[in-house]
Amino acid sequence: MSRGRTVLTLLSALLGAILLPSACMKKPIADPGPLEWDPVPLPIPAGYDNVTVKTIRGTGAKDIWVLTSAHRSGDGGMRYGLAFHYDGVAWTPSDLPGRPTRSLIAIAPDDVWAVGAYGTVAHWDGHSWTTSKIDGIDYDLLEVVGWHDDLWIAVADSNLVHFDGSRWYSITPPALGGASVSSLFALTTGELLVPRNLEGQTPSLGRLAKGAWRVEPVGPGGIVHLAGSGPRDLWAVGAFNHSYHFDGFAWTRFPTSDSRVLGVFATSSTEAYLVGESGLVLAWNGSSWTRSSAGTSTRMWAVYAPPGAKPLIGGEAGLFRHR
Amino acid sequence: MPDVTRGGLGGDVAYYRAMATPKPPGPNDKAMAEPHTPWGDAINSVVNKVTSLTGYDSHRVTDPPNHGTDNPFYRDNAQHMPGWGNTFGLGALDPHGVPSGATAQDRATNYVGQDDPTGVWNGVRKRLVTNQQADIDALPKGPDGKPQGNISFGQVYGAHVDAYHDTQAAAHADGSNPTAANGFIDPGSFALAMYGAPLMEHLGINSGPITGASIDYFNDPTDTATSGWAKRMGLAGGEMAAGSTMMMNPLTAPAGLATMGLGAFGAAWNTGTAVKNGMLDEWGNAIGDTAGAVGNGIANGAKGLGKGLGNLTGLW
Repeated sequence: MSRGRTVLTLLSALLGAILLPSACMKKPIADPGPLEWDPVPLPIPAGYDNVTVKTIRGTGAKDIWVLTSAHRSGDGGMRYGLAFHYDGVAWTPSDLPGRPTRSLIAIAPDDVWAVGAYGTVAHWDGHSWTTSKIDGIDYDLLEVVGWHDDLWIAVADSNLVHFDGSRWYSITPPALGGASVSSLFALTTGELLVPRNLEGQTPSLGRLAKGAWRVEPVGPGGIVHLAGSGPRDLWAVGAFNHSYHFDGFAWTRFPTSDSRVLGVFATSSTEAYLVGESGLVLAWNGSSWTRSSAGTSTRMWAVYAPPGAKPLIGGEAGLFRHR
Repeated sequence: MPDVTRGGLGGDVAYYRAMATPKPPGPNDKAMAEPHTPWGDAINSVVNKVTSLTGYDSHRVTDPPNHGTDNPFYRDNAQHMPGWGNTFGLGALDPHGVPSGATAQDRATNYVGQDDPTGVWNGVRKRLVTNQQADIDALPKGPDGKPQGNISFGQVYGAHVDAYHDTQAAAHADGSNPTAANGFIDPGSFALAMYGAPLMEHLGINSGPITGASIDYFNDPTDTATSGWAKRMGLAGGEMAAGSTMMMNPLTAPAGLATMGLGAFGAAWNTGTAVKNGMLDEWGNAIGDTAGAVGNGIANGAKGLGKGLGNLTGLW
């Protein structure tokens, strides 16, 4: 016993010696910025709590979907899918069986898709949700983008999952060089953009247009999120500290934050938003990212700016609307 | 099983079909159902509470049947896992044909990695399925065209090592988690978990929370090489301490020796893996940062002292 105790003591001492210096060098928390976002109360059904907003998408100011993951009382740590729809007047909740709580895309008022845990997809036809499990896809679907009958899903590996309106595919495009893909972006022009991060290479974009892939270098540092309002206004955003903007001619690097970025949305070359860890909210004014605050230091996952309406952000502290 | 064809947007394409939820029970769901007994549930209640204190969560990640789409891969493919119905090749010792290579993995995938902002847990889970599916697909085919037989312990272990490595490499490449470098645990501890889980279940204890908690704590893929190593050295130290205690009693001495041996093997293997995964670089960086901070402190102190002396001189 004494020998074991000695070993543990030595290990603890060694561990302390290694970890103490790094623990003592924590960076100060940056100024969160002015309070510019107000909470939006959601009609959370009885029995649910700890509602975390995961995605916000819509087709306009009167058709907005908020996809959340929520605890249900009495089920310990279990989380359930819960969606809220805004019709321009009120929010209406709907239960999402099967936890498709990772990502949502609103293509039309009667064509909305949510994806998530272990190959689960849910479709809204304008009246109700229908949930399916893609047989053989036993892993999480992370982000869905696309157009009517043409969906693309990132799965944190070199393959993408595709739906052509009748069949689900898994495809591994050689053009991506085996890069692991965790996010995607679909332009209204019908082009699919994919971050292409490979060790020892400058991070780039894979662009699928008219059935052919091409690769475009962006810049060093890694790309984890894409956004944009059109082919001449694109954002490639890193997890920490950097982002790249494409104006139709070249990629330009802009600093962001040392908090992890978890969501991005752009509406024009002078309006874009980043959200992330520690309540991070950054707003783009056409020349730089500036800090903004929703008055919370919890994780922010989602951002969406409906055309002609105030932008929305959300996360562990719920949903917020810009003042 | 997907139907794979070549072509289509420049790559191999696998077609899948969508099924209504909830998924119908798989062929092995009944044999692998999680046991629930008063003593087992009481133990797991304590495990869940203790785990929550460490910032992890060892509850099931999936939902009850009416809402659930859990990961059925290891149950549906249990017949291809090592040890199916014949653990260690010792059929007589195998309790009611427990598919040991599948049970631990099934519980693991459904009980770990709940908080995953960087996607590393998800990447590991995904690659484990992909890697083992490829190994199963490579098995000899029977007359019905389906794979026959079992993949090996080495293949399952290799699938884990590769899943950790490839996921962490991807997280480094895209910058989403530049410090994730905790390699997969040593094969001795892995075997203990893999074959211990079904034995626990035979005793009426759902191995999910314990499996989940031990992976959360000792094999978190988001840990640095150093923190993963330190945690596992604590585990190895505990094993050696327990083994030395057992050696004091002649009846338990052989088991004690084996436990000590497992601890020593784990310590050596995990140190090697951590070094390979860049632990010494992490130490160098930490020492460099500390030295830099100390250097800056000294420089600032000297500057302040110089300024103060200068001001004093000025007063004179």
